Amino acid sequence: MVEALINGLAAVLQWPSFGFILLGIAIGLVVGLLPGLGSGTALVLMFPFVFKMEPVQAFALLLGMASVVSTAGDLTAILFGIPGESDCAASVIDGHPMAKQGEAGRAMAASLMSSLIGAVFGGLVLVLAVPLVRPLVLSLGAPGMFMMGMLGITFIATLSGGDMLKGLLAGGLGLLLAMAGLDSYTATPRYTFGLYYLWDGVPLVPVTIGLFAIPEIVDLAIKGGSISQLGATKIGGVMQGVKDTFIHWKLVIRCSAIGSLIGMMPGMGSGVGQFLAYAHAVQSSKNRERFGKGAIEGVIGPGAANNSKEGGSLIPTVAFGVPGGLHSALLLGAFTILGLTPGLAMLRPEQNLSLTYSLVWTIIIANLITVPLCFLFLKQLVHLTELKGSILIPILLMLIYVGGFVTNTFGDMVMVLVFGALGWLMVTFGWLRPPLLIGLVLGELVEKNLFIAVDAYGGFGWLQRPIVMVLLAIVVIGVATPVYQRIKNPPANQSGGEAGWRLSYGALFSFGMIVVFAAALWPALSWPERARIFPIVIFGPLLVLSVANFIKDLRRRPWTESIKQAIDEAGIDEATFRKRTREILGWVVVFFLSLWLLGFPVGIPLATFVYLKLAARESWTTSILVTFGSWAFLVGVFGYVLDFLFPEAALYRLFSTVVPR
Amino acid sequence: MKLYRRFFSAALVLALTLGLSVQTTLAQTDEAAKALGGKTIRIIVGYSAGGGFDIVARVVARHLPKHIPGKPSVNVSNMTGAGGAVALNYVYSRGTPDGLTWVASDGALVLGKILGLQGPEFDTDKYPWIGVAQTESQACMVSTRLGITTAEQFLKSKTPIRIASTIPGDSVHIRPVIAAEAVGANFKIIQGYPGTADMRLAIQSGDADAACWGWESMKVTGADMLQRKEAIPILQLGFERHPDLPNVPNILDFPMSNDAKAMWRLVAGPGVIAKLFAASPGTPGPVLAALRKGFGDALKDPELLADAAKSKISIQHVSAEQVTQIVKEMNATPPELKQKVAKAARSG
Repeated sequence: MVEALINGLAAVLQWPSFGFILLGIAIGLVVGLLPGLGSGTALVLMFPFVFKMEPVQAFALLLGMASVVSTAGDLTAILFGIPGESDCAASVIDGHPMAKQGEAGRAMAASLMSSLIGAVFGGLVLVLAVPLVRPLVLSLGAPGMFMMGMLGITFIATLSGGDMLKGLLAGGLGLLLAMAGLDSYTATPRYTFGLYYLWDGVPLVPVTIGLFAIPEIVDLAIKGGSISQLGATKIGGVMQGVKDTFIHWKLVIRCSAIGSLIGMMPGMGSGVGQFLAYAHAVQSSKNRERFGKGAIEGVIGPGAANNSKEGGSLIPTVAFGVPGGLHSALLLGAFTILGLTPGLAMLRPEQNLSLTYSLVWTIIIANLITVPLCFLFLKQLVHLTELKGSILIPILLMLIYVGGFVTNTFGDMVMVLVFGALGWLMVTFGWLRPPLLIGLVLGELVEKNLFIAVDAYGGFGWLQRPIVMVLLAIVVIGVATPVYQRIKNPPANQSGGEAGWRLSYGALFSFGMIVVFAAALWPALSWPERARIFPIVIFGPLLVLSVANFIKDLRRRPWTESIKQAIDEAGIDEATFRKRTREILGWVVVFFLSLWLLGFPVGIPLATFVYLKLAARESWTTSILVTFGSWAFLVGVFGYVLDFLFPEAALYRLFSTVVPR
Repeated sequence: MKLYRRFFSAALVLALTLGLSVQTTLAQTDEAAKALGGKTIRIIVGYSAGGGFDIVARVVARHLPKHIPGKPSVNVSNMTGAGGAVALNYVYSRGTPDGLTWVASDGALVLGKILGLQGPEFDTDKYPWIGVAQTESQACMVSTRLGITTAEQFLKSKTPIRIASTIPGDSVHIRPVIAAEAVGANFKIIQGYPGTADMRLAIQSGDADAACWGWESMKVTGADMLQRKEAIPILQLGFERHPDLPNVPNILDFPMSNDAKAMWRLVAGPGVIAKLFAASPGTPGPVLAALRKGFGDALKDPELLADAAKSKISIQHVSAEQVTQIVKEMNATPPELKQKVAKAARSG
């Protein structure tokens, strides 16, 4: 084993393997930093080049890239509030508020350090797991997967913050979104509104981008100035960030463990680990109120987890040929191309074990190079948060629309807009978004695996497995602890505002939730049995809870409360606040309409130009330069290099129907 | 004399037709070269990048240009949704009618359309098929834990055999269901697995006893499992035995009624047109003919075959005419049998 470890290292450090790692890192940095440039697409584009390579070199290139995208993607999440990669969304929640408070340097440094530790941890797990892999993964089965999913869902309560009721409802909304699509047991289309787009479920990337990035753009526009509200950004924060990681070293290790464990489980998906790590960071903290407002632990946790998952997810890939995540699914394709067969041969010292270990080394070395490299450029990156908001806004709007484009159909754009609106409403009315994402990423997993467990082992037979019982005990503790704590220390009365009954906008939004759950329940009643069990069992109680929440909201004025707070923060008067809100919401829609009518390459630059001249009142030079830049970026990078299938402009389609081709 | 004259006139007609047809072919190629030269063909794959279908499409795309008149460049894009139906529907209704927009999606969707399932929205007679790059020959893999060694034992088992599958209507679901009905096997189908890799893991973890999917993929991704005899191929679900598996019986080797046979032909048909390529309706005849020929030639190209072999992809060309014939036969299944299959495809 030791010999295989050394051989693996030697193979990676040899030229040209090492050169390929460097190339992989360079590509990974660009792909990670830019939202819209997904690492999956990048891997597929690199496939033709690995055809003629040796396995070690091919993986140096592919895995070298794949293992640093999250490291870089976290930086974009912190700086702009847009996740650079889909598994960096959790870093937005606390990372971006830190950037707004002028602590981008500290947040990025902490994220980088924890990424590095996470990557090394994930690599070590892969090494140590070799003898245990098979029994571990095989003992889980569908019953174990179901229980793991349930364990994750209990985190909804933890992430609900002060308002448990709203947290549960947000989690329920996530479960509702998870159920959208063809039900896997009866193939009944659920909540698809007759759209094929929704048959495969709600895609995670446009949802997270809409939910997190659009509210940040709105916020940036309302406050004016730059992302960093404090202007003078202390680069000295960097050292503090490094220290933070070591102060919270136990958290880093635990979140790394969560990341690798989730990564190890096939079918969990790349979205899960980061959010569970975030939830754990919240759960293990003494003062949870800081979270969502710039708590360093909220940056460290996901930072570690989304890097440690790489090592973890390679375990089932190497041992069974069953990928643990997006990257490993594609790397599995590379295995085939290179003529390798996943399985025991990859774990045997006399066969391919040293190649397996070279994968470990690639992950570790790629991050050992990338992290210090990023530290060198941290100062320049921090300065981005001092860029004028009015110039940044059209660029960010372009990035979110391009970034949401995952199924190559126009539906993606609608999702970004719809979830952007939902995200903004949730922020405005004091609803937390993380519970929604937990529900979304775990809902399908739980439902599918429960039915499989019941079918495979009959009734309750599946509950008798030891691993299931252990997990069940953890779930029970997970549910009971917050309930017990709440009974012991009831939260302070947060009625907010004077007592009395009034229908505020916030209460209206809460009323909307009643409508949503009632509307979700209604069609479910007529579905086949297996398709309706989950919706009825979940949305029935949630309907009751949503009514309770509405009544509670009638007693207070959350809209006025949060608006006051936001106005205070922005330092402007209420009229300006409302005017700016209306304007930026309008521009978000204008960009959407423009790209819908005119397509990406024309619509986005045009909207950018109009925004810069009319709203931002920039000079002709600046406007033309930025417009040209966005056009060149769209056409050059996405059109030419990536050969994007841009959706057809609606006007063109209209024209071609009126005037036949 | 009479005979001689008859022979002579026949030979003259033949020569004239041949000459004419050579000339028309040349003219057609010329026209196609004019229409396609310097352009870009875009193949829209109905599944995500890096998946099994996508890898096949990209291998084909790499070698396609030199076989098509005018040597257009060929790009691959992915448009996912509704199990590949979104891409098929898109190219059918919105593809450019010039031979430059292709779709690559699963022939199982043609069956879905014939059964009247939701999803595919096109006329199976009007889709200009280009051909098939790979057929799918399904096999069932059973765990050796059960001690089953013959297909008879597999089909006559008293205790239900738990078969992992994906979603109702998928070929990995519908074929075992109809097979069980045809020969009276005791299968318990467990739906809900995301894909074949997860089905394979289910056999290993003991969640399921068996699962059936394409042998070409099974022998690659399941190589380790087969090598270690954790599971063995036990039965084939197609029209005939795969050359790799001469000793594994096919379901048609077992006695079944004529109705059952007709139903079997309907559900097994998509296996022959699995990795299906098509252009958009309205593509001019000469261009379509050139594309079909180029596609067929590319699939015989030694360079393409070497590339495919390296990726462990098998290539089986099925021509557009054959596809049309198979689709026609599937369509001709008696309505009551179609309904029966449709019911099986819908039910959980």
